[in-house]
Amino acid sequence: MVAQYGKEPIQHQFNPYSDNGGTLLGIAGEDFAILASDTRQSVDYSINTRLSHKIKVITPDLSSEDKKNKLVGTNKSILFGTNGFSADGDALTEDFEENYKFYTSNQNKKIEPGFEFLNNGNEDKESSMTMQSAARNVQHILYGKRFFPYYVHTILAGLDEEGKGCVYSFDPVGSYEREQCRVGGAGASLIMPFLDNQVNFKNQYIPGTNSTERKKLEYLTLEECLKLVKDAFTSVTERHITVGDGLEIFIINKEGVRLEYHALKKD
Amino acid sequence: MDALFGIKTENETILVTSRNFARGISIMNHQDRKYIMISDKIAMGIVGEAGDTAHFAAYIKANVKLYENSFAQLPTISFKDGEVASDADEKNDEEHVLSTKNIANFVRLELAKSLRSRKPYQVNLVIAGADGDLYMIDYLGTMVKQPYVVQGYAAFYAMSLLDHHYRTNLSEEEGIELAKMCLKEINLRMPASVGDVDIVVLSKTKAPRQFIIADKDLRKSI
Amino acid sequence: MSQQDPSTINGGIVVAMTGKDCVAIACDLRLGSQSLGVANNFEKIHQYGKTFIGFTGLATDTLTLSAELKYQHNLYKLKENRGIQPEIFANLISHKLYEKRFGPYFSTPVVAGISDESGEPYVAGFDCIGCIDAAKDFIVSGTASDQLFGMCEALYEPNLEADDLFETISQALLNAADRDAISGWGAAVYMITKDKVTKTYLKSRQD
Repeated sequence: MVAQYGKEPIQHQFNPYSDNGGTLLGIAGEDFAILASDTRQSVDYSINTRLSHKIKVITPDLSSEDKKNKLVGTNKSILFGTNGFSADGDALTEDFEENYKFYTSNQNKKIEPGFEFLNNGNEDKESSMTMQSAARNVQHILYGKRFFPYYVHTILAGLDEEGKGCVYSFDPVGSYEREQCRVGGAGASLIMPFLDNQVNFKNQYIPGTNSTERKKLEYLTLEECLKLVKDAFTSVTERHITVGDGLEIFIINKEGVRLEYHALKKD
Repeated sequence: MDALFGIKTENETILVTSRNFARGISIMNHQDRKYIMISDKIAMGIVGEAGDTAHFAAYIKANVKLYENSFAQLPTISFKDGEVASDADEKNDEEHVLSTKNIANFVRLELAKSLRSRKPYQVNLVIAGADGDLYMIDYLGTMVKQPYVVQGYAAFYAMSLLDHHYRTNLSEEEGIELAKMCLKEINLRMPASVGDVDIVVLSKTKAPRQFIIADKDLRKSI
Repeated sequence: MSQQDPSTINGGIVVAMTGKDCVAIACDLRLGSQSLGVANNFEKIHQYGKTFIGFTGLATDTLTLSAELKYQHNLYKLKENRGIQPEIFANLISHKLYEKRFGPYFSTPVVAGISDESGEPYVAGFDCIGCIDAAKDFIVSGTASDQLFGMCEALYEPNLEADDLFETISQALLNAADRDAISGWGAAVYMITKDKVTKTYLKSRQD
């Protein structure tokens, strides 16, 4: 049948989402955590920029000592990474930052007479947000947009209340989990099995036991983790077109947050 | 909601086919036969689109007969490691009989050819042989040889039971008990009962046996 | 239900790697019908003389194609009175796949072998209409090909000895399969050297 002009109305549809590619990766160590991402931002086959930032350090004020040591955050900081549709990622980051500011500001903690117990005499202490509270808050933000979701894979990294490294990962509508490691975004399917193997020792057995005894889980050192991160990103850069240009690695430990930059292939 | 499955026991191969024939919400026939005996050593259960099943079954059976009759007196040429193997030592004075494997591969190829034709046969089948071979073939031409096979949605219920209870050294009675156990679960969990079932027992040593397990008897034995 | 992607109905993966005077090719053992696991003994690698071919994709087409190649391989031996070299076989497969350019086999084979003439390890992969990808390191194929690419790219290094290549290809296959719901259910690895072929079944997760 030949389509007849004017018979039916031409329909236009606005698509509110786009895919900006890239990969985001978090690993938790014993007393540190890493959040890393590539810095390419693309749409279809075009590169918008070779230096975009998918990770934001959400942090209490830095001391002059911290600044002198070129730290970009304290040990209370939250490394906040989003990957997918970058506009939504930025919006989510802003939403969270706002919540973080209200949550941590002392102004809200003015004590009304008779309500001293609420603050428990801690009003002078520097206020901060724990990782588990941050994660729950992110869930609420994401689920609040359940029917028009932020199109992002979110990963938080930081130190928990015991000072242990932690990583929280989220789906676009707020389902979340604390994990040892997680990859999100375009390279997730390539890197995730590699991390299963190298971080959680999946399919690794003790030699001579005829595959009956698994290799015992143990924390990796920071150096080992950084090596894995760099290997993972150089690998995925080889095989995925939307990953490349640069690699930002944020490392949080008791000293604070440090940023490493490494070049990736630009092709 | 047809039931079609097979179980290989130590010396027998059991084929089970349901007798209810349903169209939409109605059961049109309680005595539908969903298998044919290709020979007295090979049975083929077949389910799927109404006309296709009968036609395809007849087509296969006729072609197997034609082949066996045509080549009855001829010697076979076979390859071994790429060389033409001498068949002087092959016994060929008897009629040329196709094995279960031969027939399964023929059926598979017919379905694979049909898949890319104007109107593919929409049939799924189980081929059981007295030699102990048991094949499952779907309308795409996907073929697997297994000790127990189940076609259709019934697989979701029967497979876990078979995985759990199956042993290679089952006796004929145990095999039939296992089949009944599967039927019970299928009737319990599926939206419609499969009704009476036809059972074919092909044996390595004994003559083939065909009988019916009535729905009411099955329920009594539960 | 009726309109589905033929290359992901049955599931399954194949991977091949080159090493120092050796090649390895490995496959999983699952055959499924969408979410339902049907068989855990469905081997995807077939031997043609000294050449090994792994087939992933739609199971019916892999069966048809492997039988067609067996026929072609027998004809070649009959005509030439010698075994077929992996490079030649790769070109043969390419032609067979392209014959069905406008109604393709939904299968993406992988070839692995050692060339008698050069003694060099050879691996090659194809798309479903016969475009040859003759890589010098590794070839991946199947429903977990993304995962395999990630694993291989990270674990592989050139000129591995047979033992190390075995460990590398096994870990690549197993960990990739574990991140794919329709691959796994056991695995088989072939290690091919000039004068020996070993086949090993691997234990793997059964979910």
